[in-house]
Amino acid sequence: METCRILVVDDEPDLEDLVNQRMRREIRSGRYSFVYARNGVEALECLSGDNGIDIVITDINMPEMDGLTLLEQIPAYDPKLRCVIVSAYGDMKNIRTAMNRGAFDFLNKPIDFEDLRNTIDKSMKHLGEIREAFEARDKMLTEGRS
Amino acid sequence: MEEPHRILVVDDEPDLEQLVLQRMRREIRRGRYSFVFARNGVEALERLNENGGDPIDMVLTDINMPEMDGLTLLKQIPSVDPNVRSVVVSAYGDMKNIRTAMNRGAFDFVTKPIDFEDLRITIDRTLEHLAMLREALEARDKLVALRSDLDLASKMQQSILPTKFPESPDYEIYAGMVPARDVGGDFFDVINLGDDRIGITVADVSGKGVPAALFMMSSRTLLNSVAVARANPGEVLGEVNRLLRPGDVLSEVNRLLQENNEAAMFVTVFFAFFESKTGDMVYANGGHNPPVIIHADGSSSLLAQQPGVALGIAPEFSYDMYNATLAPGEALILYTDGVTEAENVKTEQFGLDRLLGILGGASPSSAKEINDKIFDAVKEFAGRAPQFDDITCLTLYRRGGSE
Repeated sequence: METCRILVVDDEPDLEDLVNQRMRREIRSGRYSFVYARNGVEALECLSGDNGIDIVITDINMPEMDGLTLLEQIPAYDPKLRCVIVSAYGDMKNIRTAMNRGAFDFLNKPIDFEDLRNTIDKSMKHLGEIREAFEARDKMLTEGRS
Repeated sequence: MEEPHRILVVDDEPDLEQLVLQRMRREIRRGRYSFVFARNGVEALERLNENGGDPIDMVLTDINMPEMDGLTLLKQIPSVDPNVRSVVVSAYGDMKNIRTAMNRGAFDFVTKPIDFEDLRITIDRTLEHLAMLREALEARDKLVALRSDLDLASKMQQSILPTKFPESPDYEIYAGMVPARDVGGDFFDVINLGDDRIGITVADVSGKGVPAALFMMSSRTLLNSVAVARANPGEVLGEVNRLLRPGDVLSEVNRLLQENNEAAMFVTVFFAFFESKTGDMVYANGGHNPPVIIHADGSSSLLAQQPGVALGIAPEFSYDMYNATLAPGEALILYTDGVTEAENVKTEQFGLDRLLGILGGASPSSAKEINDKIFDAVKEFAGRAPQFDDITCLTLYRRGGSE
């Protein structure tokens, strides 16, 4: 199975250790690999390099560029990327704003890692379908032309 | 105008129906959405299963309902129609149910009391996602159809190439073509003209893929029919019946190909008449690679000739004719540049020298053996490098040497 590459965007440095610790089995088995950024600007820099990111998981409140602004910028980098927003528990207003701006799903703080796993796997399944379909379309265009 | 998107609303509260119809009246009137209603999960599945009606694009479902609740319905929907997207309606702040719904594949959620602006955005976003997925799925289906068409075209193309070759005590012929893609632009032909005479040809159409394959089909048909007509001119030409003129064959095919050749395609052709009793050959070349002769003593050389212009380029070109005799024990190898220009991973080419030395100085003894050796050598040389061009090879061996 291909490794799912996940960009985690949060200004809390603790999150990195927490994710690496709680997801150590998935990381070791090569199922997930994580990259980290501290705000929206850093996240976009990471996406503009060729990092093969599949999923972005982003906090909302961050300095320089917040998660809701980041959400709006991402399609310009890769419209197929799936974004998951992390909000304060029950922060309906921000969750609804994020979903309406194209977030694929959301997570509550404190992060329930079982929910995170389900969400990543669901996002990957969707991404797989979309990529497969787009690849088919692109292949058809090249084969049809030659 | 587009058909309205059909949305199935599932709720046991009868009031919701009125509310949706009222608040969405503008979208309904404009024909953007149309709504269907169900009172619980069981009824919803019945609606989704209904044949004949317009298919449902998305489901908007409440969670708590009698008979079958929304979370159970969510699990059932993919088996009824995997392309339907669902949005759940939950109590405000009911995180547990919202998360369960999202993990069960809900595309989104809205909360009660329904904010219709949020609902509109949610519906549009869901439908947009659905449209993108459907477009891509259609592309995938078309790709599958295209592949099966190409597969069929490939089989048809291979089926017009001879697989059985004339059997004679005087000579042996063997040939093969390996296309680089599903369909190719190379072809060969062996035309039995009676009276111990055959026509042989190997040709290579410019370009690749479907256009090359179509041009190949028409070139091959023209060449075959012109060769047969010219070799058997019957009473019209009377005395010159036995005067075979391969140059004239190429000239005529060249003229014919030029009619309606809007794609400006061309084909290189080597064409020869071979008299099996005497080994006499008359041949002409339309811009094709020079054939190789392997002599009875194992040495090799190129067949003497000047390559003319490829067919399809200069309508009035007159093709020269050459004579040679294939001695007993000699083999003539016709090939396309897919052989000599086959590349290995270091992008080196197979080259003419490897072809000339294919038997390593040994005497020829079988057309099939030589032909197979060439294909094997090219394959081994290329290794893991991709094949860019069709590979075609035809070997004619005149028996009666030292065997």
